[in-house]
Amino acid sequence: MSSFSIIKKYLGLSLLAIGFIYCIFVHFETVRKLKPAGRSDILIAHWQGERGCEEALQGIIDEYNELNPETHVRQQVIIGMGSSYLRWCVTQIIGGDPPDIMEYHQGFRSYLSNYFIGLEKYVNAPNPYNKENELKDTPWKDTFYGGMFANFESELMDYYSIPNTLYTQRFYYNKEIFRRATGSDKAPQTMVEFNEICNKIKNIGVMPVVIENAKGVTAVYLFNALLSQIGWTIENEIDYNHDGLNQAGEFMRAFFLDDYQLSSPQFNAALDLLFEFSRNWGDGFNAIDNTIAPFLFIQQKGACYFGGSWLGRQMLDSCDFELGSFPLPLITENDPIAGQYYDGPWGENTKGVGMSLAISRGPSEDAAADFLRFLTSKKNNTLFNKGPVWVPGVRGSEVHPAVEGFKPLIRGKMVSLGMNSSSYNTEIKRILQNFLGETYSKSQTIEEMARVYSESSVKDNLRGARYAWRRLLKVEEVRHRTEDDLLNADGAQDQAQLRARLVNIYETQVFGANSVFDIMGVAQQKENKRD
Amino acid sequence: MKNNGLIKMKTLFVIITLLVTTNLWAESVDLKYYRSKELYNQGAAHCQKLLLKTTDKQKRKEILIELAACYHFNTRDQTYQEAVETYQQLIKEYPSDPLCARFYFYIGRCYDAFSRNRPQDIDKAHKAYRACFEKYPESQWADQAYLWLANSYIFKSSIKNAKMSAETFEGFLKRYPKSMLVGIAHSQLSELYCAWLKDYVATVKHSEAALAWGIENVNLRRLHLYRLGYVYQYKLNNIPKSLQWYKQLITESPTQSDPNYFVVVKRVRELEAELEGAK
Repeated sequence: MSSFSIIKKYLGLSLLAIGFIYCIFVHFETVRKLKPAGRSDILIAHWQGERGCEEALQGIIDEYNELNPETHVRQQVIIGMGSSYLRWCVTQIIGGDPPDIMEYHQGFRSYLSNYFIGLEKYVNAPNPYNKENELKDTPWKDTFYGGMFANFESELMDYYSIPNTLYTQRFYYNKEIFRRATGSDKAPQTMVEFNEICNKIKNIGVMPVVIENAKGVTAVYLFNALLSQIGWTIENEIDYNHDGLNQAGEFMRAFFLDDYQLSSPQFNAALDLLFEFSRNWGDGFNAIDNTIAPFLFIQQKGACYFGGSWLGRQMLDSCDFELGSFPLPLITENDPIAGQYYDGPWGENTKGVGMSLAISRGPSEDAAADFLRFLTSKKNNTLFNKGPVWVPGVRGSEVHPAVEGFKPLIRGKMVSLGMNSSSYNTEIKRILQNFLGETYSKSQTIEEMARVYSESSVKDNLRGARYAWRRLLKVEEVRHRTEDDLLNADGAQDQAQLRARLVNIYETQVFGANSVFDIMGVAQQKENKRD
Repeated sequence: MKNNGLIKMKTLFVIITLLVTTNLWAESVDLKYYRSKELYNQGAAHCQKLLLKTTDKQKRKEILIELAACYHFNTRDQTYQEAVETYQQLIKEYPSDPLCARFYFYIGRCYDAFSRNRPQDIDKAHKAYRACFEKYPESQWADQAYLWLANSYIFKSSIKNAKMSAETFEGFLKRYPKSMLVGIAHSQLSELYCAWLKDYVATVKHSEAALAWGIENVNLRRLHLYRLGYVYQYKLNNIPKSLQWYKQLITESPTQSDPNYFVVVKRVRELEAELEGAK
């Protein structure tokens, strides 16, 4: 065989082998660079592609890496908050190589117990990186607005993520237009004041308020905030177990057993308030969506724009005028429409905090928790949120002046009547759009709400109850595991601890099942009543 | 031709090696491995395979327990019937084992879980719970079975079911006064008397007892504190007591994140003004 034919025969194979060897070399070189021997490597994955976020987080990572040469933290942004981020994370989790810290996604819930760590042992102790401020003795969880209430996974009896930022909604406003129309740029405090200012703005030919209601979400939010100020008494009427909350089963019971009608004076008054206010929203608000509304405001075609704190950086960079912000004004006792029913302000004291980060199981758990402590110290939470101009989640952190008005309002109550169900939540948007667009009268609106609730709530709530039941059955497994541990425990101290944990699990199981039982019981009674 | 034979031999060798090592690996897997990864069906299949090969009685019991757990906690496929059958098999094969109390208890739990879709199974759950605390009154599952029996009467809340449930919970307190679950029984009694039976004196009695016992769950504590304040204020017209519990709720919410924190603050202000006016 000639040398040419040998080369010809093995050339392809040789190239393949060289390519393969090169890939292996590149792989190990990358691994060596990312995970140098003797150094703990922590990868954070998140989906926050908003302007300023990645850079701000990197600044904090760099400082941490400098302070901790034995640890190397890095971040990876997976753009696309929904499916793509979740798919990527789940692939990593199942593949056995998850990032050490992952931004929490609802889709993680079924993976939490096996692939993530419970954070109770960390969050009940003070954050050492707060040692030089007033939070030095406060448990880590209580350093956040809402006390990490929203981060508690009730079926697993533990906290599985650490929050970072807060998302609130306010009116951005153009101070120059306000001055031109009213002689002052003072933000309104009451709904009466707000409506008066809007009338003055109309007189100079500017749209007073830009509202995006194409999806119907904004009107529902505003309706709830208005009802929350006059709804404390309704709650007392239908809160059968007097826990200060209205569960779905309680509203079903009140509605179907005729203890409460939607035609109540407070419900009527909330609709009147919303209608009156919507006369200031400019033409076609039901067709304006979030791709148009901010531009109308930025182009100074509207004096106010109702939007979220997450738009802070974009608004700041885009507006060529003096920008301010204020929350939805209060009704107060002097309101001509609803003053007689006024109970108190709406509030955000239970507001959940966003961009929560969870820690995956692995050798770097403690190091990852330490980095999260560093990230959520009062000082660093201020720095981090300044980047994208967000509202910090840690109490007492400084807020960027542009979003000062977006700070959570720790006051009053956000009333929920427990009417929510998947069909009703969809339909109420349509119903309110028709009401505000004057297709439905107020009485038609109430009738339509009652009809939709009557037709859909039982089926929807039973589905919800079955889902809640399934989640409670997951607690059953946690209890089973604890019982196994108790059977095998040696010391009296271990046994006492496990017994206490068992009682704690029982509290969750028994307490959690009550709302399921209520829905099933009311559904049955409704059937009996109809028969 | 000779080469072809060699290749076939090599392939055969690789396949046999793979089969043997895979099988060995599968057998060496920890009994609870699959369940720890929430792979319940694989776990059950693994246990079934091991059962065929095991002759040791103790080992067989361990495998059967794990098999039952794989069926019991497979909430996606709801294999509760298989779990019940496996627990029954355990009772049949190991009738004098002290864990039989646990097996009866879990038969009750499986039927209880079932009963959301098949209400007729609630009677079977009751039967299993009774078997647990009547046959094994000294076991650590006796009080748990009694508690679940009481709780399962309100699986569809109504006044009639609430009465039966409350009677059974009262029976629990008499029978197991030192049980670790006493606080939970008081808590449920308070709920039943308040939401369904409208006996507000009994409501506050049991809420106070639940708190005195030491409820740990933050939400449950919050619920009782608010309920005590509200019922004393609006139903029993006992202002000093109402103030006491409202103030306790304020103290226990350092971040003011209780949904009723500011409602309670307002009520305290009003009640204190009322008391001041009365003086």
